[in-house]
Amino acid sequence: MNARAYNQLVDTYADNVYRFALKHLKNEMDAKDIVQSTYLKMWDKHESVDVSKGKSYLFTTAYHLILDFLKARKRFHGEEAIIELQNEDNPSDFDLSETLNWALDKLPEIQKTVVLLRDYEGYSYDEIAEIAGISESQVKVYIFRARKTLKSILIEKELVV
Amino acid sequence: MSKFNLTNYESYYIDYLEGNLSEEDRHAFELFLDQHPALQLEGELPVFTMNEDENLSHDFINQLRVFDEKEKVNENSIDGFLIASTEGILSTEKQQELQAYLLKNPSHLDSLGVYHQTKLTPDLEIRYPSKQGLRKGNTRRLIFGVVYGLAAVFVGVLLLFPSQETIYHQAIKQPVKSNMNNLIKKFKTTNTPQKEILFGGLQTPVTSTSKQITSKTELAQQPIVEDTNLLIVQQEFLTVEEPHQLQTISNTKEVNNTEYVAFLAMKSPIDPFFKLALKNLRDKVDFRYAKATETKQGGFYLKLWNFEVSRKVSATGDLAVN
Repeated sequence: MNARAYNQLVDTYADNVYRFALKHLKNEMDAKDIVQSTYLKMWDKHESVDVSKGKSYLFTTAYHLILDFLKARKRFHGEEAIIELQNEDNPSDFDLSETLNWALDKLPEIQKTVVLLRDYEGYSYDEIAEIAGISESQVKVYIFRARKTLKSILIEKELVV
Repeated sequence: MSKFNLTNYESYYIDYLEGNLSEEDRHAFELFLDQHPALQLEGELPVFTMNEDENLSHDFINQLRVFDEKEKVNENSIDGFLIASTEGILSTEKQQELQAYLLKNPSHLDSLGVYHQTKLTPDLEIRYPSKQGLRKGNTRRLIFGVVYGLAAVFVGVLLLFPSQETIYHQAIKQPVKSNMNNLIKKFKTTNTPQKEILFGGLQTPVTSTSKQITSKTELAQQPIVEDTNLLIVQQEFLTVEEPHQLQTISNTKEVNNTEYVAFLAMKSPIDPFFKLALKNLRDKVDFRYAKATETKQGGFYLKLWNFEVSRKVSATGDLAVN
């Protein structure tokens, strides 16, 4: 991959990686750090990364960086602080989108990841499996469970019939 | 001998309480408890039975199910099919089967609607704010762009004036003490043979890059700026295409037979580029040329920072260069 192809990946996917990180971390500065580190890693490996796999490489790298970051944050702040952070923004009563995003934070990290990759990026199950380092059948199980949980929360919040 | 003792009685106690021991074992265990009254539980024995309403919820069990498309669509598998339909991974055949089931059981249509609402849509207004900082190779590309651009100009100039004439380089250091009049007078009185360099460029009027000089008087009135260079070429050797400019200058009595034209009157073929370069580089970069004709000489002048080169092309094949 040359500098031109790399820069195209910056122009095309930096926003996507940023949104992906922001959904996980709920903090703009942390999300920016993840994006910078992700692209830095890609540039370090740019000679061996195939352009056609560029997007996949970006999300795989970002996902692992996010997991490492969350582990470090948990070690530093403790589990309670993380839960408190996730519960900070209760959704307003009648906003479906807001409630859905709030519900997303209630999902286990892996379920959140597969749903985000599926809905935000439109990845297929096998692509998500490659990024998250799990099997395709596991991806399917996680997505199905996540949808059921999200449905339950929406019904509980009486935002849907 | 009884098979129950103080080391193993606990493992049988639960079975005894739940009534899972055989009749023979139950008697033997009660006899053991009679022999060890301290082990007997006081009060009413707890009941370890599960009521119907204590069973795991349908939702919980449903969560544990794994979707299998080979299954029939029914009450137990409907959620999986609804999600698969939402995900767009159902085969045509199963999709039809699901639709048929929903027609018979329309209460599940609401669930299908809710599953569709669980699909997330990205907020496209959330953007990474400093994308430019992630890009690579900008500085290098800019430098190469400038270098290649200048090289291309230089090559272009050489192609425009193909000849066997010599290119002369001259570092011009002589300062100008007065104004343009002095320069012109100096050159006018110089008994310079034709086909020879008349002078080296010294100083340039401020408006040199843009203003058209229409008379010698006006030329003489141009303010002088130090550290810029001026090239005035004897009109006999180097002229410009605009006849009126030449006419104005050549009609001046002071000039007589020796007609001069300032290089200011020469035109840059890519003026916008050099204007931009001058503006952005804040340094001396200039390029001008006049095309030779059958009767008029032509030439060019190129200045890149401290490097200057000029070249004259004579219609008769003569050469005069500074």
